[in-house]
Amino acid sequence: MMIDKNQAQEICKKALSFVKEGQAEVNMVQTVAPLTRIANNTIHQNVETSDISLSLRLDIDGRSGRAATNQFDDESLKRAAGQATEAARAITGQQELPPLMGPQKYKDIQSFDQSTALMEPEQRAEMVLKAVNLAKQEKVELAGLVSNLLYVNALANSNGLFAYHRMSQLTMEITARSGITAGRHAKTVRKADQLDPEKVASIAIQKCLGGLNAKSLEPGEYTVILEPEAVTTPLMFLSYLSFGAQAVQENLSCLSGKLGQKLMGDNITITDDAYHPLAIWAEPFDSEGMPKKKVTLIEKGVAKGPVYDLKTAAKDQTETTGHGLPQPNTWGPMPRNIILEGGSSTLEDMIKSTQRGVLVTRFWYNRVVDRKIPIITGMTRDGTFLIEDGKISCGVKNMRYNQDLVEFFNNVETLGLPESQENMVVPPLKVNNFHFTGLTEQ
Amino acid sequence: MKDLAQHALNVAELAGASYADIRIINEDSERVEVKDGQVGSINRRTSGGFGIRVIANGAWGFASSPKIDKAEIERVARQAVKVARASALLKIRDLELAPVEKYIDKYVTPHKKNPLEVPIEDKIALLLKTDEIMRKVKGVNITESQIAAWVEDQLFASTIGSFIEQRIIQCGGGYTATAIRDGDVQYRSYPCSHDGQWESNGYEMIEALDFPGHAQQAAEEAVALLSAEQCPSGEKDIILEGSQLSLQIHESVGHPLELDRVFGSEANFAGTSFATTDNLDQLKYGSDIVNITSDPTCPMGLGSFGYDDEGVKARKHDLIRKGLLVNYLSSRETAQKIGKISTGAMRADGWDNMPLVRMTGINLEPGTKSTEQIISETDDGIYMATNKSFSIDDRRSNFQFGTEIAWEIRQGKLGRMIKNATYTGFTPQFWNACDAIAGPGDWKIWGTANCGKGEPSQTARTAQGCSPARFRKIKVGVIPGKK
Repeated sequence: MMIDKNQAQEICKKALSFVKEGQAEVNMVQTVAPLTRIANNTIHQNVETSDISLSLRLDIDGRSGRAATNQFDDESLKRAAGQATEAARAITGQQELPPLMGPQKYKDIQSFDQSTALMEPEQRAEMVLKAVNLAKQEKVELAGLVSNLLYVNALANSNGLFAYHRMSQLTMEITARSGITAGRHAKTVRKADQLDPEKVASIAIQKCLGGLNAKSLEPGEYTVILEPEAVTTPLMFLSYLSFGAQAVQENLSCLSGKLGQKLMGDNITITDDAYHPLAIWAEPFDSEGMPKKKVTLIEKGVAKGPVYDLKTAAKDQTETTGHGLPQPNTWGPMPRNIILEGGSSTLEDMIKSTQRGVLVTRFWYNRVVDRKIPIITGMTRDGTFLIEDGKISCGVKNMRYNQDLVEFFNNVETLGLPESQENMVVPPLKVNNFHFTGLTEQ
Repeated sequence: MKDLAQHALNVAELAGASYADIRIINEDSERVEVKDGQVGSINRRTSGGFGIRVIANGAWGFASSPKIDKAEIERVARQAVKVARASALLKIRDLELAPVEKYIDKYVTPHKKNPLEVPIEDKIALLLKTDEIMRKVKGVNITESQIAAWVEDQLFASTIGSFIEQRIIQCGGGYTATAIRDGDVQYRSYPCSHDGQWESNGYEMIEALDFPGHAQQAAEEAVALLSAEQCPSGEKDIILEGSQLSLQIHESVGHPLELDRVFGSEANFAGTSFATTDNLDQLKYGSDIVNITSDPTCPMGLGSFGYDDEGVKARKHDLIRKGLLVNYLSSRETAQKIGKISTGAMRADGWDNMPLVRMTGINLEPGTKSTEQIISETDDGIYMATNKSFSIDDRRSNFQFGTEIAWEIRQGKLGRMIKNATYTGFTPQFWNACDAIAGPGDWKIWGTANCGKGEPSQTARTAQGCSPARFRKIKVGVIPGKK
């Protein structure tokens, strides 16, 4: 059963009633996450999970404790309030605590669809069945998932703030396999009727078949064409490493000391915008209850500014942009809905314009090698192809990269039409001088 | 609770389940963080609920709920059967499970001090004292430290007749000093990175780590790294310190030997494995001195328990013996497919997830020499310590690791400090290049508190035991611009 706005308000009010001193904030989150998982053309895991958790922040004399529970009887709520009080009381010295704000106004974001949120296991199985039937025709095996997710988020505090938002999405991910060759396609939508399971499966299957008898490429610098899922990797790492105000203030960000300076190519504009029509997983407020603002992070290659929460905004004598995480925390604010402005090219245009290059479906096991520059490493996976003379010529074996991300965004030659990638909106990219440093197979 | 559990099994059977199990869980946890001289956050959490797993029409179904009462247990048991019937629409054959004995038992993690009963004030005082020592070192810019603990009470019951109560107590912590200069960022962590050392143990393990006693050295090394030489590029003999080798074992032995991923269950997410079942008793995974076991009975191991999450009693199993692959980490379902018994490696993240094959304690047995002796017998090498980055491909074949710190080895002696050390290799080739493993005196079981796998994503707490070891002719210094 989904918790509606009135019920959420009652739950928050009840939790706050157990607080006997100080100022308090309560965050209630409901998740219902049914998921049907397939491998080897069969359902091997099928789950219906749900939880409602309540996290209570309690500030007493400038010190803050937090306690969470998923039990809502009086005794459990009283215990949580007691634990938060005990934690706050245990703190010696002061904490730099952001204040609990009063009521705020939020823009509306339509990110919920009841029929999607409440899909039955039989409906998910039917989607999988359509995909598997295609796979059997092509003699490949599918792995993947179909998951419909419901998420309800409510925030209230003792200063009268109350925020409520609900989201749903449907995701289908398919990895088609033949031996050690794999092809993948994934799609996330707000409404179930926007997802064609046969189309998702068909793209994955064709990638798998096109990648059979893959060749090895020598490591080196290559022009790469990255599909949108692959683009999320460098963008996500750049965002969480560099676009939060705390990282900038701590001199850990590539933006530190460089705001207003040209960092990337003229064709790179990156914003954080929860209200972008293609952003599927988006909320109008942050974990401090502050309304989210659209923030320009990079404009035509120039570093414009990070996202802020209340604490980091106070330090820079500016306003929060509504990107706070649950307070207090040691992480600082984070971007949540990264939008990379695109162009008008299609993936096909990019391939046609490439004499020799590599088409990448996605990257895998990506990790930070250098925090500040930043450099990340990882590998290609599930569909990597050689492009020669404007055409895909064959599949290539997966390769390891080590890549400077600022250099990456200086080497973008072409941007395509942007599309949704859950909480991000990204175009496909054609990028020059991408550093492949090794093979993943001997 | 026992009556509720039995009721759930009865309802599931009446609804058509041929097998059912239930786990009723309450987990209390706590995390205390200090950053730059201030308490960063204190979080306490209670999470309770139950999960019911069934086989109906020959297929798995799972459902869960945080609300533990009779009516909800009946609803969820029926829902699990409904989910299983939906799964059966796409089954190829009926599920078969390797046999398991019936157990009625209780297990509690051996410990002296329940970490959640230690006053928060004591934890804060310890972290602030450690933090102060680090911040006194000139050139240190950021200091972070943390202590965390989990206490999970679980009742497992199955239609086989088992009723198993377990209390798993786990805790740990650590700290990091960060030094930044001219765009260079260097870290030193104690006792290891990724938030520190974790064990199934009481708070006495935190006390034994002596946080303040190592803080100055960690901070000074972070600053010294700013002036250190870059890692050279080429082939070198490398000696891996225990915590780094622990992660190497985790990534290049533990994961590839998870039998569910060998059979393709993780093909869409965590990946598959190069170590396919035709390699069993055939593949020379490592050199003759490489002996690796799965041992959930290992004292203090973060992956230790009495029974796994399908009621299989914890036992030590050989995985690699004299370098030869002899078994996998398995479940009842996957073990049956290779004609073996389960190694008892099915573990779930909390009450709301279905168990998966996970690591327990994956232990590299010790050799005979001391670490000092191995260094003294190395002419041209690098000693690498404390993980900084890790990345491995989806078949667990090619890896690249980086460490926080390293030292050159020349003619048997540790020399100059090296920063941004990296190495790369291919799994069996790497383990076959292992020619020396330090002895029992240097052996330790390390914890990994954040191992991700599965969809929906699950986090497992695993362990890897080892002593430092040497690997011959490994490719090092692999980052462009960091030569």
